Amino acid sequence: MLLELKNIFKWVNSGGQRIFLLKDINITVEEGEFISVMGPSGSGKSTLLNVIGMLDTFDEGEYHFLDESVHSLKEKYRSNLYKEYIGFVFQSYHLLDDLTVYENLEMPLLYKKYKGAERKAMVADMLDRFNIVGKKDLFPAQLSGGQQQLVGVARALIGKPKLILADEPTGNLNSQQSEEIMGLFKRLNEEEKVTIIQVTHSEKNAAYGSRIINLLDGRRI
Amino acid sequence: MLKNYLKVALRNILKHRLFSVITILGLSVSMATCLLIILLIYSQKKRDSFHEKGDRIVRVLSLEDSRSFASTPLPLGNMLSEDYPHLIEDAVQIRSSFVGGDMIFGENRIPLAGRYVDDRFFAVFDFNLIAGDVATVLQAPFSIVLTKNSAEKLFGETNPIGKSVKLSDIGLNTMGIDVVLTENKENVLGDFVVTGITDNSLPSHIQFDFLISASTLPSLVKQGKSDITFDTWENYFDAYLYLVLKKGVSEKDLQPILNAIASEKYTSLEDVNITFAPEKLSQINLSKFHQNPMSLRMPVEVIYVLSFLGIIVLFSACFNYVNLSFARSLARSKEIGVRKTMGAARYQVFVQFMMESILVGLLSLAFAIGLLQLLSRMFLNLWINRFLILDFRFDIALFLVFILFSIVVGLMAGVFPASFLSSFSPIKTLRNTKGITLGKGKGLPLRKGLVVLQFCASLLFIITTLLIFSQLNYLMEKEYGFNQDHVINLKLQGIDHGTLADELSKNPSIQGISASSFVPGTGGYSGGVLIKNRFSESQSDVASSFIAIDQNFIPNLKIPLKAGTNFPSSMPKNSEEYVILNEAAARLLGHNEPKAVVGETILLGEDQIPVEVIGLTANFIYDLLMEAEPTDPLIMRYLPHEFAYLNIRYAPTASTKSIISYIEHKWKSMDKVHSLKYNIYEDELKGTNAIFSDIIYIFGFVSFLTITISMLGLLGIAAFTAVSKRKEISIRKVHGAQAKNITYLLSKGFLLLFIIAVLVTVPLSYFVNVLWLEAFAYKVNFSPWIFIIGVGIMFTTGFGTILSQTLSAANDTTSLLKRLKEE
Repeated sequence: MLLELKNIFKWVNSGGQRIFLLKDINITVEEGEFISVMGPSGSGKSTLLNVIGMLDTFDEGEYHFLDESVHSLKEKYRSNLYKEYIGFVFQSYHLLDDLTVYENLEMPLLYKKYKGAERKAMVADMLDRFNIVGKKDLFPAQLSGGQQQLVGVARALIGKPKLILADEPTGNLNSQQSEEIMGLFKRLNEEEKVTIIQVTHSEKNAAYGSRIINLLDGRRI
Repeated sequence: MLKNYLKVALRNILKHRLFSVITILGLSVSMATCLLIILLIYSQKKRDSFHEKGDRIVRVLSLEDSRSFASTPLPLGNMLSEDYPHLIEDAVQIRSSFVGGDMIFGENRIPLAGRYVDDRFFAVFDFNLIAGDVATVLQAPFSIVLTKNSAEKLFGETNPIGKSVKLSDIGLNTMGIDVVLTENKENVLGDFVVTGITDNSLPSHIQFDFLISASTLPSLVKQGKSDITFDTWENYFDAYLYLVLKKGVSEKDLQPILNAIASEKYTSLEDVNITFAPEKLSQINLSKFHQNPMSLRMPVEVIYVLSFLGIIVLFSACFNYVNLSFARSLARSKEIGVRKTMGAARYQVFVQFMMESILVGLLSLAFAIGLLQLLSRMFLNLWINRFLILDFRFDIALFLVFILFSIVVGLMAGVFPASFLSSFSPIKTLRNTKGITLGKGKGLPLRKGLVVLQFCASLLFIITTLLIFSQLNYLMEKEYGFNQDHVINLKLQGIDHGTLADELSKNPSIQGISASSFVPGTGGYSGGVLIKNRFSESQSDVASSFIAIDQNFIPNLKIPLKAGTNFPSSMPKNSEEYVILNEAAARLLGHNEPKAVVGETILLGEDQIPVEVIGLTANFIYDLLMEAEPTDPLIMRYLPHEFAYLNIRYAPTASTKSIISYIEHKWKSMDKVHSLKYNIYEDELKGTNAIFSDIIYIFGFVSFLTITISMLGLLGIAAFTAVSKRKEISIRKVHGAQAKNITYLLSKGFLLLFIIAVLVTVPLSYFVNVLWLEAFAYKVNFSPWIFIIGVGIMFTTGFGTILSQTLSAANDTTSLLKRLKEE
């Protein structure tokens, strides 16, 4: 078991009313799964992903990640945990505009305190694997959307995470680029046993996964 | 990691040019000002750092009630070194009076100034003695040590050692100030043997062209060439005393001994009551001002004021950095979110932003050092620096201080923005729509407060500068009570005034010539004298300043005679019989109706010499205008031996140039050695306010800086406000808002801040400025116009800046749809 959510509730208070963003969510994710989270806008998909990614907190329930109880961990340990095991991919890529492709890939390694030579090797390896060696000195603005997302995935993978969280990774891409990225996810999942949880609107993309979680108004259905 | 931070920082600086130019420009000009102050302090601190025993050398001060003197009574030195050998290793005394005049060797004759010093001088201080023996060089009477510089001037290639030079004393000094000669005759001191040459090019507070052995003095006194005293404890103006303490002895151990001596010597004395205090050599160049100084330097109070101004300017520039960083936080929020998601801890983001601000600080330093070259040159051109010895050379230590300073500035500017930016939570920053609130919400009161502070500082400086300027104008225009137009004052330099006057009066364009001991209004002073009413026994002693004048002085300068007569054309040369008073002096003698004093006999001085008051003049300003009071008493006396100046009035139709060349011609025929020294009276009087033009320069410059910096900041903020409100502007436009509505909407926030600043600053600047203005007897009215003009200047520049941004935002013709979509 990679992670387990038990009776997760998350709410905000608005105008004296409690609005539930997540309501009684129970999920168990095994290593090597490829899960798609689906649901209409505002159903809590991204919130769920952020909770799993430990970027966001929840108000009630238990969250176990590997052997740790995330709900009782302090902020600092939590960030160490996700730093080590989780990689993020965003809809709008979120590459740093001021950094080259190479530097964008290197950035997470800096925060994980890898030595210079090690970083160099890891980045080179990643550039190689994604076939973007020729683009390493370009800035994000000089790349197409598909290429940017490729770098985004590479950046998420570079720290060798157990889990990749992708929030509508193909939302800004055309269909051909989408297929490339989804194909890449599929290969990563199958060949390297990386666990993937993606949020998506598209049935087609969801089909790449092994399991679908449907949300509506913060509940699983 | 560091490399990555630097790279990002540098790219950010290059990318956001407006932000970078504003912050770096502001920081570099303000840093340049601070560097100048550091340089100033450093150059003072560096003085006298070359003495090997420097950390053990102390100078003894004499303390009066509220004043302190750099000098001490002469007997103190011997007493200390003889009675306390366990504490004091060595001691040297330097006579406080200068000896200076023409030094003659063969055909060469040059004016030099120096001091009488003990033979221990070179043992205590490490002035480099190029030739001569440290132990004996100043032992024998009539020994003289020349500086390398003066030796070269006087001897050229010849070896000076063992040669004999003649020296006469006219009271020349090394301070660059014209002394008013009390004795107008040259005092030929005799022949001196050159025993040593010293190189005194290292900066020191002890300045001299030559040194004479103090053992010379008894002979001079015997010959009647000096009236210097040797053993009075009452006179604490005579000598500077420097002690070398034994190793391990601190100056605090000296204090009880000094206290004991002072109480032993002075408790029985009625009119002298002083105590002594030691001052470390390292403190001499940076401590508060002492009376009877060894040499002139920038008083520490001035450095305080300058530092205060520098810090205000620097803060203002730092505020810009803080404000603009906050305003720009939106642009950086995505980066922060991504970095945190990728595993950056808060402190890492914090460090990153600190690095960035330090980099900005260092970049600013590079520009600031360039600006410093310009600024220090401007500073050295100030009038005051004619009297100061400043050494603005660079060295490594100074450079390190500069770097350290710029890092501190970077930290100071960066700490607020860095802690704010690093607090962003990734989840919020990465959601596009929510990001917008970040820029507006947090830190807004802080930003507004900083803008108000900048407004306040700018306004305060503008008002102060305007006031100083109008005070200067007032002083420039002020009537002195005599007529200074078309008058040239000539320094007699020992030439007989009668002979020269006879020669000059041959020129028909010269209408009048008079002689005086000093020139009224130019800072000269002949001394004070006790005056007494002959018949009122009860009257306590009163003192008045005096000036020595001849019969022509009053008509020549067109001083109004209120009663009585001028001095008659023939006056007894040797005894004083008549005096003329001004009205203030008459009132001081108890006459409510000043005219009544004419014909009275009054007693002058300690010896109570009876003289008759034959005339009464109106009050005229004879002191420096800045220091003068309307009630300053003055006695005009006929003392020909005190005459030091000729006042030459020429016809308004004659050209000043031709008169001067005529005078020059006559002068050369009478004195072949000294060059003619003269001043055009009108210019000279205006020149006495030179210190004011210095202050105006400094304040004007500082106001300019604070205004520029705050306007730059305003420009940046207005620009960012316009950008961050683009969506709002578009929505309003869709609903029919006009450009002027939008402009008003964007500008009104600043108007409120401006009003707050005016309300705070106007009363503040009034009270601050009244403080210094009160020190002047002759002062300008603090007119409301100064406030109105000051506020007007601020308003125009401020709103000009804001409007330049808001107008362009309001008139932004980019399609509304595009703007609405992109947000």
